[in-house]
Amino acid sequence: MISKLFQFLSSLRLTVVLLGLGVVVVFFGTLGQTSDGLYVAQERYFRSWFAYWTPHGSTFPVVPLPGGYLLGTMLVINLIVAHFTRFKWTWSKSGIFLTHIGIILLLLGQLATDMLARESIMSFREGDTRNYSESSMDFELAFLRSAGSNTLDQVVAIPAVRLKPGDELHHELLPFGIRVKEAYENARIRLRAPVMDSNRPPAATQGVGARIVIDAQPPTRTMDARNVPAAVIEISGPSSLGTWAVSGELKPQTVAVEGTEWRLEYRSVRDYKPFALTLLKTTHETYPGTDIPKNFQSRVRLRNAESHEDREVDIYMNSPLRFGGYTFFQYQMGKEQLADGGRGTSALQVVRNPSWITPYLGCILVGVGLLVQFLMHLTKFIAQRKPRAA
Amino acid sequence: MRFTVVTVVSALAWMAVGCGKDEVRVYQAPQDAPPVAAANPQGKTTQTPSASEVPESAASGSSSSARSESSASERPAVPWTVPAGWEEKPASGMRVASYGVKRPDGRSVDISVVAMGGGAGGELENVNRWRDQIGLEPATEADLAGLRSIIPAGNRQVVMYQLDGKKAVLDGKYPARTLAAIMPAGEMTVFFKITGESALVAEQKPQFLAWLKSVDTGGGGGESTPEASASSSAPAPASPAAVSGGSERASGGGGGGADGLPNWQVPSGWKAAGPKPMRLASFDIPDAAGNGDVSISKLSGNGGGLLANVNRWRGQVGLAPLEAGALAANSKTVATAGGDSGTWVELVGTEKTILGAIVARGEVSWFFKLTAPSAVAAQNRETFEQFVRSIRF
Repeated sequence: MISKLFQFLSSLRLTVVLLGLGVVVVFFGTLGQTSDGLYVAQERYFRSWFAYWTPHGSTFPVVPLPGGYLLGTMLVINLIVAHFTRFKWTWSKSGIFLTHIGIILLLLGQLATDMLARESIMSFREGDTRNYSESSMDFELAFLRSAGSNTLDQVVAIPAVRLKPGDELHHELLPFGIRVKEAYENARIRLRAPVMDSNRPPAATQGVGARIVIDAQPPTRTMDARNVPAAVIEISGPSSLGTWAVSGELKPQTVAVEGTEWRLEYRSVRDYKPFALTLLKTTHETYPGTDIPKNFQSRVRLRNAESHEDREVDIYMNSPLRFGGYTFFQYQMGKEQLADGGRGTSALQVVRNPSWITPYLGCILVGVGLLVQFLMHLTKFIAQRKPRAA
Repeated sequence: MRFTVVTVVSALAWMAVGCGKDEVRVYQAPQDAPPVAAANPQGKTTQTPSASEVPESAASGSSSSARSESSASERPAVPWTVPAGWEEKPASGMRVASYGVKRPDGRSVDISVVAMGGGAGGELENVNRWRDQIGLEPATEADLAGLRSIIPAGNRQVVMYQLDGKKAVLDGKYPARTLAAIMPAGEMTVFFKITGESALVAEQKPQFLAWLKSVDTGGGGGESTPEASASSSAPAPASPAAVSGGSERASGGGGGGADGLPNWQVPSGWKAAGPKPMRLASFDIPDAAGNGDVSISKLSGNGGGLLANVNRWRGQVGLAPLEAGALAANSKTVATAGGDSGTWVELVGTEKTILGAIVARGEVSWFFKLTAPSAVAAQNRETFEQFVRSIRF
């Protein structure tokens, strides 16, 4: 029984079927992007064990598919089991072994990247200093109070996915409970308008919520827009402290609970760094007579209090800053309104990928393996020809 | 067996991907730097607390957030009759409603309803912004009267501007035209605007006017908007009838008139003027040397600050702004009949004079202002002060 299982897991037929299914998943994953957008399609087809494709506008699962995780796992198992059951180590096959190790490294490296890599955005204006970057997708409801000093905040951050209507949330560090009244994946905030909204109550009873309304919007899946979530929560200490509207578009609000002032803010998930970057200067050059970017360049000052490092760095296209396990790529550039000062703005894409080296190593091993195998065949071929020529 | 163990561990590790995303995080972090003071595109600080709390993205309409279309069925019923041929468009930015009309030849018009806090930068600034959009030179305060007309909107009278562009700004082929009605409502101002290809706007003008007339402004007799009714401290602009006459206004009890305005003694000779944006009431003081203009308005909070308002008025009569510490020496305190006290300023310019009183009451500030040629202001100084002193909130 077990031997049959190993025979199946090590078979070349399985490899071919898995690779074929990989092509099919890539095909339907690409089709899925048209309706789901890149990020949802990634999650649905490639970061999943099973998937199904539905035609645009239909909810009926039409084509069941293996997910990317399933295919990747099966390929790794197939390759490893094949090595221990079918392949026998000989010097003449060392190139093939190297190639296979390279492929395994690529697959495992992708898994590690998937688990460990984080992408975020650090955006600032000239003169601003940032010691955190923000997720471009995920939001959190943050409650902040002074941590006893003038410079530090105590933060309790609740992920947006935890905000579900009807749920009640408690945390040992929060002296109040949070009841979620409404939650929106994507919503638009606007001031409650006279005439138009006369029959519509304000979004909440407290804070800015008493002057706004929340318009639910269909979730967006496009690359050039992002969902901005919103929620209406009720904060209850010993008694109810009213309802509050929170949204990624709103500025922090303040609520006093038992003599302590808490700020509540629905914001992009933050990733704090042990160092800070100050945007000194932005350079935005285009090719003459066009809007095509020629050079986006940010001059930043990097300061690390622990290592006493203090230096200026230029970040531009294809020349990222690598520091502290992070890579800062030049991402976007702009200019704030003249009324706000007209300063240049810059957004850096911040990537943390501890396994960034594995694809390079994997590719090198595959390349070297193929080269070794080719050279061995070549030398054998030449050696076989020589006696005949003689 | 060894392989099975490796496989299971690998699979478990794989399945762990994504875990931890929904856990509450607790950490200490450096405090954020205080935000830069919000400023509107005219460079003036915003006047209402609400406008400063709502981010620039929502106030300016230039948001990075998704602006996807929402179906009409998701939207609440609109308080007006949408003319035939107007196609609803997704509202975005500060727009509370948006419509469009398109012709096969590419001509189109855009109809919008925008609500903004306070006076939204002022009448002249808004008119000039609209003029700029259709390629017209900026107008002056004196030009406004010629561009303005009074039209009915619901059971109210509002100011409408018609701006006729001359340059072919649309696709380089068509000149543009804008019709914009301004409806002050409590602490906000609502702008109803149609803009687009000149001839098509002219063609749609009857529909635009009918649409405005159909707006359900609520209340009775034009004294109150629904917004004002819903808000305990937000009176709507009074109709001319509500403030006309030369005697004391009827007391509404409870420290104020039924329409939210304070009681006051209107001096004889003053004539109630028509509705004007941002004002709760206006009076004309007829004089051969040039009419005096009395305005009563109200803003939430301190209305941008006492000194800032006094300096704005000083600028209007050509005086240099005061330093922060100089206001006390250039003003006095005036007491009203109702027991409130305000700041009284007399700003004498070379041609014009402004007499003003600013009364802060709780969460709102009241502004009483007389603008007149200096000689006329001097003659009416006592009368205006008596008027201010007669006020009972």
